[in-house]
Amino acid sequence: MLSKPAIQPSCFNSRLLPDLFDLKQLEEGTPIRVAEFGPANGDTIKFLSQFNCRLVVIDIKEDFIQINNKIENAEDIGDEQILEMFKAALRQLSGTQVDICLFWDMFNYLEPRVLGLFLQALAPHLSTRFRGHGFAVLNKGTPLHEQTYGIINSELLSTQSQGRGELPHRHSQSVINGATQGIAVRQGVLREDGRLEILLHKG
Amino acid sequence: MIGSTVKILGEIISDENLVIEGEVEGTITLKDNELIVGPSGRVHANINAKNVKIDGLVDGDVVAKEKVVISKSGNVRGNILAPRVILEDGGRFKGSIDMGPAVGTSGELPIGDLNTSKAPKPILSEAPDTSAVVKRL
Repeated sequence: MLSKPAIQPSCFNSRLLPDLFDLKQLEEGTPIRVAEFGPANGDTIKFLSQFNCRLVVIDIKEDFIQINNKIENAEDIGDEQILEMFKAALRQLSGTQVDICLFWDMFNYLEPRVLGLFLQALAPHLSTRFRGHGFAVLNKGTPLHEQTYGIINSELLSTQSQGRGELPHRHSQSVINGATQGIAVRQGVLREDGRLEILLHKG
Repeated sequence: MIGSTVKILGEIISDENLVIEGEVEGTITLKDNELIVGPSGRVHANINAKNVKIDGLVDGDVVAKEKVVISKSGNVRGNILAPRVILEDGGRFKGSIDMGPAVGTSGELPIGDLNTSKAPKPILSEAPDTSAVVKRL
């Protein structure tokens, strides 16, 4: 029997990564604190090991799916309950102020109202020098398939397809800006696959 | 080597390299040596060693003086402190990693601000181990 061929990662240049890892802003003598919301990635770990760095891998997709299911199946679930579920999902960040969040596609697993609650739960864990990286869309009709990401260097990302599963939501930059409190999309770059690569800053 | 049918509850202190293919619960200290958790190894323990290679399952904190490698069959849930951490394609990790050139020389995991089920203990010791219990499964 033939074995299933391994899915090979591909790479693309990112114009936003240099801003994300702008060392002039980050080097203040304290370790860089990075939260990875996707699965742990060998490229990213190798890249970050050049810095004095703490990486917290949360891999939050399964939590998002479980929370979405609870919201769908519950007749009356209030914002406070959803907020508590997100706080529980973020317990690994307890006591940590994160400088860089690698959100990747995670915004697109939640509907706008729920995304706002997630970012509300995350807000206390963000440092004053916070930056975030993620993906939105320019055109909401663009189908987006699941991918995982890694950072090869300060200008190059690796991506790996996760089958043909589509992301349940596709948010525009304005939807993400509407959901965020205290952080905003600073820059966006449209990619060939329809993803809008975004950089978030505080304020 | 701890074989695949062996379960150890307690503290392991070793001055030689160790391969775990069985199950260990407690703490593992290999001050200047390498620990390999084999593909069938299941470790629910805090680990302190010079180098650690994980092909099996580890649930606990890992401190390495030099390097931690999580191979394609490895699965780690816990906090890692090491100057170098390598995650091979397919390897799974959830937790935090403190890394970089300045990390890993003190041998203590700075996890005071992290939620971890297993707080690190001062486990470096030359004393002979009398607390380990070996149980054949």
